[in-house]
Amino acid sequence: MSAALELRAHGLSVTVADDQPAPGGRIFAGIESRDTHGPEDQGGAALVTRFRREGGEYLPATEAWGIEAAPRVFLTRNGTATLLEPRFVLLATGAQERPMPFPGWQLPGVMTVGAAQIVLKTAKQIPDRPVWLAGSGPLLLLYARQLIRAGGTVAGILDTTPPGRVGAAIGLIPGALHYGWRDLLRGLGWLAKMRGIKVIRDVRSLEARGNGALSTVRYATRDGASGEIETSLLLIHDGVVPAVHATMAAECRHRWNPAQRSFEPVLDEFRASSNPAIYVAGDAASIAGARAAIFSGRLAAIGIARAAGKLTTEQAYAAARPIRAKLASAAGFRVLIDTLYPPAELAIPDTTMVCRCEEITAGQVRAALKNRRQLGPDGVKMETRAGMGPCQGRQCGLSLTRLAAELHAMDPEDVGFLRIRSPLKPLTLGELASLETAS
Amino acid sequence: MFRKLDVSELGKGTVSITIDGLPVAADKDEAVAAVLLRTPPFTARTSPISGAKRAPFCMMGACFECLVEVDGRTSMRGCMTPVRDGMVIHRQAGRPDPVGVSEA
Repeated sequence: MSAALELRAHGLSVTVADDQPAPGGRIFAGIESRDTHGPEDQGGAALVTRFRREGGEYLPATEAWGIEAAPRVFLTRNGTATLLEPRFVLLATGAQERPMPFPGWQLPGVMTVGAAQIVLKTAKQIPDRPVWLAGSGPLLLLYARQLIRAGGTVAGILDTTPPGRVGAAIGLIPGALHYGWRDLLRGLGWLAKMRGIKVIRDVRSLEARGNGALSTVRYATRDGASGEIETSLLLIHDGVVPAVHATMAAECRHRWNPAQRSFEPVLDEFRASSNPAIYVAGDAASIAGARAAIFSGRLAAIGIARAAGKLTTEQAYAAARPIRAKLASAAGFRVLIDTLYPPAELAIPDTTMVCRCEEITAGQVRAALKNRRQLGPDGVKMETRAGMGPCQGRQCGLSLTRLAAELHAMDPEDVGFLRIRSPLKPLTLGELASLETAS
Repeated sequence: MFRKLDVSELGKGTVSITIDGLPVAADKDEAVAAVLLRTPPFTARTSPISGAKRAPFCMMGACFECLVEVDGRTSMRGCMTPVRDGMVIHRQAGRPDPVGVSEA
């Protein structure tokens, strides 16, 4: 939204395709039809209002299923496919939950924390009995607080955060403080409110068990303790990673981010990818959070305006300067969060169904990889069908990279990710046949 | 598994849909998958590979677990489909034909 507004301010025509029915992205999902809580929500509501008024042509409930280098963008809306050939494309496809596979994670009753948060925001629903959370990261604490405030109950938390993090983080707090002191205080406030919740720390493995649906969760901790919990709903979370399917299908270059253990598009100082007509903003570029995303969108818009000849290089740099200062602050806070909550990287036993769609286990993947150092994620896909299901590797891709890197003792940067191709979303032949070209 | 925060006043307007023939009250524009999460047995489909039951997992269109038949079209992501009055939903079994059990 902020990019669209910035682009319009520089006199460029803008079309925004949004797969959701209304503006707001993830953080402000459904904000036009719910109460706003606090200044951030109110800021989001104001941004949505401005976007509706001045943000250009808005296409809700529209899925982009193809992005080609030219750039060409293929959209589907109401069962009709359209081809757009804009001068520039800005991808703000956001983040997805980092896949957190463990035995039984595919059972009904296991969901992500992000999913529960979407259900709360857009359907105003909460779990109907005390819920267990498992994983690590600020989103987990945020949802716990939102759930409690909405009248729900958190029975307990299986905390997978590795030990010793606070010590490592202390040195980073001064740098992070200016940007995130409100967040830190909020976090401390939440921790105080959560005194009644059972917290099991240093969890290093999980197993979900049940007959057709979740009924118990087994866990083991790093110091050798273990136990079993009865619950019919487990909400899991291990951070978020950039949603890179669109940039990968568009053949942009990516690199491995070792701190966040995810792939990111390689971008220049104005957020242009290796394709000079494709820009990336927000968490789709690198995980930095909602506030940073708003600045990141504006920066990419300034870059596009400069590339389109609406701004001189000097004007672009001048306009970008205050935005870069904000983004640097956000980056400092991000380093603190990454240090406090690194990816959990739970053990993946052979019985783990790493590919949910095709039901392929880690054991099958390891058997395919064994003694074949030249085999990467695509080779595993050919051999086992992992990655061939409808999610197109969104839930298993990072696991395949991790398993190959571990078995071959290679850097994930060298292992790479599954080769992603259009269509990125389901598409019927009827929709494809209806393809029109918009000028 | 899930319940509405406020049962007495369902959002902007109550719509009526059917799930496997059973009428269910829903909130205008909420996702089909959200309705599934409060309608027993809280599942969406059975897996084409093993027949195991699956339910909504990510609620953002990225996992493809919540596939259901909507007004005759199969394998629709319930989380990306807002409910409409009179919508006919069927949980699906395995890998269905493109045209589902209810001809729409």
